[in-house]
Amino acid sequence: MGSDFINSWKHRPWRYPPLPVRPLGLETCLDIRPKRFVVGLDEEAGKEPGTARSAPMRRAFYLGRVEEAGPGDDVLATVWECPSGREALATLSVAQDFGGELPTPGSLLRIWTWLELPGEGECIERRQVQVKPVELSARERQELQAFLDELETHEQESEAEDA
Amino acid sequence: MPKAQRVPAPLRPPQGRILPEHLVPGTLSIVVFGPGHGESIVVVLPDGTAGVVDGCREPTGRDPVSEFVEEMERRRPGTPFRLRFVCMTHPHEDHYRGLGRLLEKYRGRVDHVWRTLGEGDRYLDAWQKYLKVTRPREGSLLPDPDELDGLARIVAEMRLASQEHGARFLQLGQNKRLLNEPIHGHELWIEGCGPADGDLETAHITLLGTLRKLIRGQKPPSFDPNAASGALLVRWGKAGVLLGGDLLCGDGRYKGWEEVHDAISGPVQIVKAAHHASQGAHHEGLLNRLQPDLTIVTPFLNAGASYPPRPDRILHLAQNSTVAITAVPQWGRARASHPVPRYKTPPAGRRPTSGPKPSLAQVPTAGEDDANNAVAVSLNAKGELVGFVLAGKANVYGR
Repeated sequence: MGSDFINSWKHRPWRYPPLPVRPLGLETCLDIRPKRFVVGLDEEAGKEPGTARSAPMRRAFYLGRVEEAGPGDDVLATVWECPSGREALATLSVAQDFGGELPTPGSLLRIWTWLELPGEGECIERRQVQVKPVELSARERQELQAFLDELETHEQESEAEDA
Repeated sequence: MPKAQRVPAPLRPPQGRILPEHLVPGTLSIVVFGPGHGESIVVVLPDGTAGVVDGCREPTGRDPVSEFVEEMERRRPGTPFRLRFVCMTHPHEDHYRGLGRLLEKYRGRVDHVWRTLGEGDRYLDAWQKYLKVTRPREGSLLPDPDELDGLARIVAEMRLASQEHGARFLQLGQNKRLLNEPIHGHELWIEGCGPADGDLETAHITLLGTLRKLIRGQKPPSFDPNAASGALLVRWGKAGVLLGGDLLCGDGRYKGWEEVHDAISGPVQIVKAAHHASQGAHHEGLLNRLQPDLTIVTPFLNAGASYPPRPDRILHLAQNSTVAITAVPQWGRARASHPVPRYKTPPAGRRPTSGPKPSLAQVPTAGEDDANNAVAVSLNAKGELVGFVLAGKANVYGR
């Protein structure tokens, strides 16, 4: 998750304090399944997040999915580090990460995390989240509608039998 | 003797994990695994057999429940080992994800299967449809189609157990008797005490509304499968254990604990707090009436945000009973403004006391191996706590 390059004393400029190995951008991150898949090889993971400035360091990129959104400000997401595939659960903020708009469960997430070192020993954790909501194809909508129609018919039949 | 003095000093096994020999033989014991996302409970009956309630999302690829059951099996060579029951309290992935593998492993060796949803249940069908359309499908970038397969696998295995291998299938519900037999001269009773009658139907209607919104391309409301969670009451002699699942209190639409709590009477010495001790699952009246000696909490390790339990809930529970938590959440980094509770593992023979205590910030945080996080308790037929074991990052809170 990110590079440990700057943790090595010989690579670290003297004015920057040693950084913790964790956390790395995702504040409440729980490892649950390490390195089972290779994930996101086709993604442009190395691309610089648009808002990075002041010497971005230890960049990491994740693909994720919204598991639960709300109540409150929290969004529970499963995330996979790219490309290692390390799986974790992370808690994101509706206000900070989603611009105040509650995401739909199942939405695809692209998450960049990095550290900014503006100088004078300051170290700022940054995170950028891009969300792609669940979109049903026309076929999926039809299938779902057929399922609901079938349920409705079944319920009407059951009610008629009960009557 | 005041109730507060009944909790024995906890044992910290040198192996770092709970093994069958840490339980007191001939007692009703429970081992509550809480690795940080969900929970799984092994109920060890006084005759040495066992059943499993729920299957948590296993951390770091290890499956602590299967490992524990394997150890039980290993200690009974030559005896065909069977699981007395496997129960899924509700279809939420932090409670079912580990069950599929267990059911496959013990295929043909399970006596009873219980879940809140019946065979061919429309709610179950609708829930699987919901998972299917909101989870990765063909061409997805994400690698875990087993989110759906996990539930489908469990449903298939439960069906196989009941239809092919003679396991008795029962639907978990309010006042539902699940198991009753004498063991060592005392009656063992296991009853369902949730979900409330009608709550499954309400959940079904809500879920259909969610699916309709998805079809129309509208943003669906968040659907909470906890609303129709089951709960279990286990009794043997005067020993009583309430396993609260994720059952919530009523909220107008759902009845939850408001409906079922009247039927639950003591003695109950141990309560596994419902829904990870969230405020929405806390029924003050029920807990005041039962006055449990020990409340066990399985926290989300990312409870640093608003996921349960909140520190104030632990403090509140600890006012009336000893609280054992399977792991200490990352409250030290919490955004919330709640005061951080303090912990202390009690010295041998004593309950936790007040006085200078280290803060939670000193506790190891998540990311290490959480698979061993567990609390085990043994109760004799008189209802006395005769064994108490903490493993992994489990800890105790007191008044």
